[in-house]
Amino acid sequence: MSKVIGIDLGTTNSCVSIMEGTQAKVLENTEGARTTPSVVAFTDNNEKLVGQPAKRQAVTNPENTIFAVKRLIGRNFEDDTVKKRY
Amino acid sequence: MEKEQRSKSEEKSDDKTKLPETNENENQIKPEDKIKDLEDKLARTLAEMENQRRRFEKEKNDAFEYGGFSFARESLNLIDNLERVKQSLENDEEIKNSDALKKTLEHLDIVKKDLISILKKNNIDEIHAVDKKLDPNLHQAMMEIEDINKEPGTIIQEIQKGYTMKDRLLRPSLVAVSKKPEKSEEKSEEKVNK
Repeated sequence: MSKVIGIDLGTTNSCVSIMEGTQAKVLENTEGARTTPSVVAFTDNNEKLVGQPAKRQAVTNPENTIFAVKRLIGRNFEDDTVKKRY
Repeated sequence: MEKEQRSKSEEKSDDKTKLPETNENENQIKPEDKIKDLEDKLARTLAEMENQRRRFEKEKNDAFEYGGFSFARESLNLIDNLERVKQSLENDEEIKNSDALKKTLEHLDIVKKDLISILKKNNIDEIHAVDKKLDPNLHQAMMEIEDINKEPGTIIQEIQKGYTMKDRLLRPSLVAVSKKPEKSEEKSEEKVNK
């Protein structure tokens, strides 16, 4: 009776679901939304923001807000594609 | 070829003889082990049932408390539109300073207050944003405006009002945030360089 969880890590949005019996059930986040933006941010107070809150402050903190990071997974930090973006 | 066929037939006959053996093995499971196994399965099933009951309970409560969430969010547009109507009437040159306009505006205000009181009764509250620090859990930064008098990160303009429903965010306030002005010295240096 092991539990099963599935995570769809999307470029712009992510979604998490669990198996309930034979059916998959999508979980909601704290704001009640079924998808969460794939965005993280680090604020000046060393606070970590994930999802909607991170997206909302992107205008004021563009350097430390990271989005569409899926495109960079598997690349080295020195890679040209990574350097171009950060 | 014949040898191969023989060997295959031998294997088949072996398989047939093996089958009863495995059955015997199955029969050899001790009753104690079987009981343990069943007890374990029963405990897990009970635990799973309890978890499911709790999950249903939580879902039921959420459905009661936040059932009208999307309806509430969409009805916020009514308040926005009332405000827009007021502004457009106030800016209309033809009816400016007329008694009819004043009365209309008063009535629109009454309707708006009524709407807001209905929302409050349903635990929907306005977010007061101006002059507060940007909180990404409540506010959405739309732009930055240079301001010397305000501390950086303070909200100086509200573009659209935000609302909360109980402890959840119904709609974030769209705001403009103050930013440190770029130093004038640097600017002048840049100009010299250019």
